[in-house]
Amino acid sequence: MANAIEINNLTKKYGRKVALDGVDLTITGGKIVGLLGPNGSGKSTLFKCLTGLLAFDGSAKIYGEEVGVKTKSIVSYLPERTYLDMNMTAKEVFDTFKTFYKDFDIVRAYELLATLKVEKDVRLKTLSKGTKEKIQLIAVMARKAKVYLLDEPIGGVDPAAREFIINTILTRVNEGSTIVISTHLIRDIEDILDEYVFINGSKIVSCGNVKDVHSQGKTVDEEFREVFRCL
Amino acid sequence: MFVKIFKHAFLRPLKTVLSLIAVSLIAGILAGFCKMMSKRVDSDHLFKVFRSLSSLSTFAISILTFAQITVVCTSFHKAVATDEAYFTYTLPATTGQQVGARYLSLLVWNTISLAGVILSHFLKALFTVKFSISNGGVESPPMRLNEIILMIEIIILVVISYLSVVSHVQFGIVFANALSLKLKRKLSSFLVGLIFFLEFVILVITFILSLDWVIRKTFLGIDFIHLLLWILILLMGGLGSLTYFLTYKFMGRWLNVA
Repeated sequence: MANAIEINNLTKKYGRKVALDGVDLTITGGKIVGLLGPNGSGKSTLFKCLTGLLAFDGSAKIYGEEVGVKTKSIVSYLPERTYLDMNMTAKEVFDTFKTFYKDFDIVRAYELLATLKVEKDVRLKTLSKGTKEKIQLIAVMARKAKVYLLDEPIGGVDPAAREFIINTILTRVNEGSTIVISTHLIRDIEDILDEYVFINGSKIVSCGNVKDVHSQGKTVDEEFREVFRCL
Repeated sequence: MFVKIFKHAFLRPLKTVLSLIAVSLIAGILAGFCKMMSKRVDSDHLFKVFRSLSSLSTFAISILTFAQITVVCTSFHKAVATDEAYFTYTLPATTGQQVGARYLSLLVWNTISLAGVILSHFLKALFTVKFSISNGGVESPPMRLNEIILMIEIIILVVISYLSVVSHVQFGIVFANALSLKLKRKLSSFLVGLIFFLEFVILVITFILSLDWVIRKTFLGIDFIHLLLWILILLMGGLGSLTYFLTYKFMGRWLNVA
């Protein structure tokens, strides 16, 4: 399987503060990868670099292309905050995604919306925070993208919502696509991960295969605690 | 992608701005009607009422025009300087397409708003002004070549100035947002406002001085007027291009979402 993401010596500074310090990382295609680390470790910054939201030093390639216009068309990104216009309805959100992204599967989006039991013509501002986040997730996951970057998709939502989110991620349209999920709630997503990447203090601390960790009789959560206890 | 972004940016404030324009047109009709009635009524009390209503409606046109421009600018601000920027900047578009399409949308909306205010005042005038197509049989003297050129130059200056103002507005929003990553948002907006105010003062002084020269054109000659107008055209064009270029630079590199 080709490399979905190749990052070489990526450095991002906010003024004097180093957010990412010479990060090297390779993620192979078709995997579900957990980008795991405490708050402020650089997870969101790494995603922003990969989506072209932040300029950085070094190199970051997605399916062989440097981050830019081409990669934006194959990357579906869920930021940690709601970025939709609250005056829009779910229908308008989907129509907007359909307009801008050729790979947006509107039928799939409505199927997922039906499971939420939300009317398509209701304005987002009238919905709860959790429902807004779910609609945003639906819009992001209804794209047949090659790479999905999901920043804290289960942070701040109730257990029932977490189940919906995890199921939506698992039933992704593109079987060969790569999903990178950033979170600090490892236990909740451990079962769906193929690989893990631990990040802390602006550096990649450790990465590996989830099966390998399990074969040692440990969980990723335990491995995470072990690694971070040593730091 | 340029067309898609333009369409998205253009359609966003559509309902609100068109509603405001409709109200503005109604205010124009009301202002004209009240002014006409104030001239017809005998009662002093009714005269005052109609006169006040006419003034209020005229004032409302100005407020509504300001509101339209605010709505259009807010729509741009939301797209590039709030959480919605996460959507804007992850679209598979180049910076040139983003800046160009949004500039065009601002330009078209501001033009529509201006057309709205002109139409509102025209509707107001319809009630009170008597138009006459005939010029009383007096033939206007034919325009000289120099006057035609002068008129074209003034039109070019007005158009270039207008394009430049829209570019300034776009840059102001982008620059204030970029500054707000370092400074407090209110302070950033204040600084940008101050910079533009100073620029405006300098331009006004330049215009006043130019006007003074125009008035004394008999001493300076028509060639000097042409030269002056072209200096102003180049100045406004240069400032417009500079702010457009800076918008491009800021949106491309420095206007990153925090």
